[in-house]
Amino acid sequence: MKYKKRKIADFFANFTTYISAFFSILLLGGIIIYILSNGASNLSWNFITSDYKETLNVVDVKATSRVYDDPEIEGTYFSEKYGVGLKDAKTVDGNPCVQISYLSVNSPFLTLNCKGGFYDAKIGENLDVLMGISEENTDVFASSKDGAQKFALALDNSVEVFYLHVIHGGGGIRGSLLTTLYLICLTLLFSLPLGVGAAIYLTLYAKEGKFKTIIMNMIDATSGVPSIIFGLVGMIVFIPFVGTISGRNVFSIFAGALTMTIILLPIIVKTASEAIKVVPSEYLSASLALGASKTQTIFKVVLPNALPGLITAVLLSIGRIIGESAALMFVLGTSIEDYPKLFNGSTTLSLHIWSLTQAEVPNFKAACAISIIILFVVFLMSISVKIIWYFYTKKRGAA
Amino acid sequence: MEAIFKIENLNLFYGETHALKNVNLDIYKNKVTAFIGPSGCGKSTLLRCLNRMNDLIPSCKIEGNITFEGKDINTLNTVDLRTRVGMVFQKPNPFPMSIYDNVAYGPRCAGIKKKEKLNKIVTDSLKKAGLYEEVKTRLKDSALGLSGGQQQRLCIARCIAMEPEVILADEPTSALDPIATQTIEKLLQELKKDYTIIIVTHNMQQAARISDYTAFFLLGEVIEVNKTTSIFGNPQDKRTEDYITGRFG
Amino acid sequence: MVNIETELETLNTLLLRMCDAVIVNINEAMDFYLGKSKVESINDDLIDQYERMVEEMCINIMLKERLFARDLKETTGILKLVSDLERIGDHAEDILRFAKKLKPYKDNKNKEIESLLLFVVDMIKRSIKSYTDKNVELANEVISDDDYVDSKYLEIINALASKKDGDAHYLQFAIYTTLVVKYLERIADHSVNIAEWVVYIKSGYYKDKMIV
Repeated sequence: MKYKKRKIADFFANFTTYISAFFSILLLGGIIIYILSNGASNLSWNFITSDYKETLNVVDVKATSRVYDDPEIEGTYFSEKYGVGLKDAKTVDGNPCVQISYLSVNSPFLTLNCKGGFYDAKIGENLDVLMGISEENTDVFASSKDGAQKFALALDNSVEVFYLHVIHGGGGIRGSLLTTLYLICLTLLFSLPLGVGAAIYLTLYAKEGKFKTIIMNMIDATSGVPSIIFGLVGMIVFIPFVGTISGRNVFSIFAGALTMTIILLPIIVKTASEAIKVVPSEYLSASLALGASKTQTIFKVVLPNALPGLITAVLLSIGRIIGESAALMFVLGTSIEDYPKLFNGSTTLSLHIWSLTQAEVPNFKAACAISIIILFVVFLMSISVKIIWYFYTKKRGAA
Repeated sequence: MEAIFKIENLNLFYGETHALKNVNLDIYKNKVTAFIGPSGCGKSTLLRCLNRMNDLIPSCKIEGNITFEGKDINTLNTVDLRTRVGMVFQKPNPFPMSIYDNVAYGPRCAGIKKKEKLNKIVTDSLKKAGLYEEVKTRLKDSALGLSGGQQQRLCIARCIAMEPEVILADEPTSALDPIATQTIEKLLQELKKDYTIIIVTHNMQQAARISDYTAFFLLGEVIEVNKTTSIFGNPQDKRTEDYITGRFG
Repeated sequence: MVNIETELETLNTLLLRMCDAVIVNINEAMDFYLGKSKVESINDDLIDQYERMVEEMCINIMLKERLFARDLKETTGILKLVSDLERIGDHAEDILRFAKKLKPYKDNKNKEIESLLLFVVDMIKRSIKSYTDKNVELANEVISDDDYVDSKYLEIINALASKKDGDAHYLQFAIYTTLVVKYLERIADHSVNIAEWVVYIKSGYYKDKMIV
């Protein structure tokens, strides 16, 4: 009888386990699939490397008497008058546009007139808002909404184009990518020495007692504070602080790094402490008994052996930095910059996502694309941890 | 015969526990002295006093006097003392580095950087420890790949690379198989010519075999100390005799 | 009780039994010489057996145990004194043999020899007692009695050799008596050896030299 009861209990336990696992995997898988399906189409080299802001050039151009040969490229609608091939494309953030796909040699588009000089159009740039005059002296209008074919026809109809938008680039995330990198480097530069130093002090130098217990408790407490509070602190304290260095009380990556440092410090101190505690005390005894000073022991024996743990701390921190959004909003601002500067504000990848969703037409596809990039970076880092561990234990010769 | 260590009226406390009581002992130069006694009676504790490793234990308080070559060891610089008084531990503990780096660790910490000098120190120490022939072709391999006996000899080589005057050995063979034990014992007897050796051991035969002097410890006191042949042949104190004949402990 | 204690106890019991057998035999030989008993033979094989058993046991103890201090002295001391004890047994048999040969001459009793015989037998008993009681003083006594026996022995031999009677019977009598006295002297020596090993077992000194 008892055996049967146990069998039933086992069955239920197993059942609930399997169901929970199933739903967890379903949810997680579902989210990843959603992101991938929405964002994959947006991913391109252009997306990663171009500016966010478009550069708009207003030009005018006159047709010459030359007639250009149609290169007969599929999908391209050719304007014989101006030697320009146009095709339907999408902007980097997913909107339809008319893109230059071919320029004939000596095309007048290569020497467009622009306010204050010349502008040469390049393949890949987009055209919009065409206003011209036809042979019959009527007005010709075209816009990107009309599509490449109609645009090309409009060009051929115009003997002179007196207003044309040539749009370069846009929608790229290069600026945010660079900002994220700057932020990571700067934050690690500040937080690692402080965190590892504190960990070394707490595990190896500090005497047991009230003082040490208070500090350890404080560190634990800080790790529980919502990061948005740190953001507020950053706004109130660090921006003026950085202002004394840079001269301007504005959003800045520098202030962001300082804020992230405080957020990360408890995590780094805890992880590093654990890594150091795990180093066998026999190594310490052996080193000291050989006449090494405590400092030499720490730097030659303890830290090298604590390295895997320390690297884990670093990678955890990087993951946290990439993911942080609310706190950084207060110190970095939310305006996307193409050429981020340390003492100016900018957006990280996660803030970029926020920014995209605040526009009149939220660009979910681009947001998902950025998410894919973030996922990929985090994934890369977990793999790195495993690889580092593997090579490290191999090299040391696992006992 | 010269006493290299003089221990006078030594009392040691771990917090409230009185671990060493009124110890008076002389350690003679270039001789092997064995500390024997039941577990927990203070042998290893006294050993660790001699190179001030007990300083690392915060609850430890020491009263009394230990002089090393005439000078009070508390007045000597700890790092300096430990380069002259080396220690080998019970469980072999080579660093997770190459064999070469293990032996070179001490000298490097002491500031020796020249490659030729380090090479010479490493080969000499390994030869003295009787390990050189076995590892000369794989000095760059990890030390953790060696057998237990080889690892312990490596620790001894690492210790003598610092050219200490005294070697403190805390049960150096208790974690090793009989053949490895024999090798280490032979090694210690040879090293006696150049170093003073103090060995803590639970193995009565080992003490009788390799030591010149033996001190018997019981509950933190030194009950008897004498030439080894006397202690094992004709002990003066009944407690000593009962211990070495296996009647207790 | 630890192994070694049990083993040493067994060893001692065995040795005591051997001592008893030796004393029985020596008493028989003495009584026969003095004419007090008629027993014509004594069993020396038993004593030889005991000796082998004691030796085997000592060696086995040394094989199994690590011996220091009193255990070492006791085991090695016993190993040595057991052969002296066995020799005493042998000589008891020898004395009996020649006492039988001397039977026809029982009128030619010699008071000196008789008193020496009694003295030596007492020496044996004291020597064995010094072992069983672990009494160093008694042992030292026995050791110092050796000189007396030696001088008495020389005296008797000289007296026998210097008689100029030339009687054929006397020759036989003299020879057998000499042999008896010789064996008495040997027995005394062995008793002294036993006593010396007893001193060693107790103090580590053998013939005034500390060998452990």
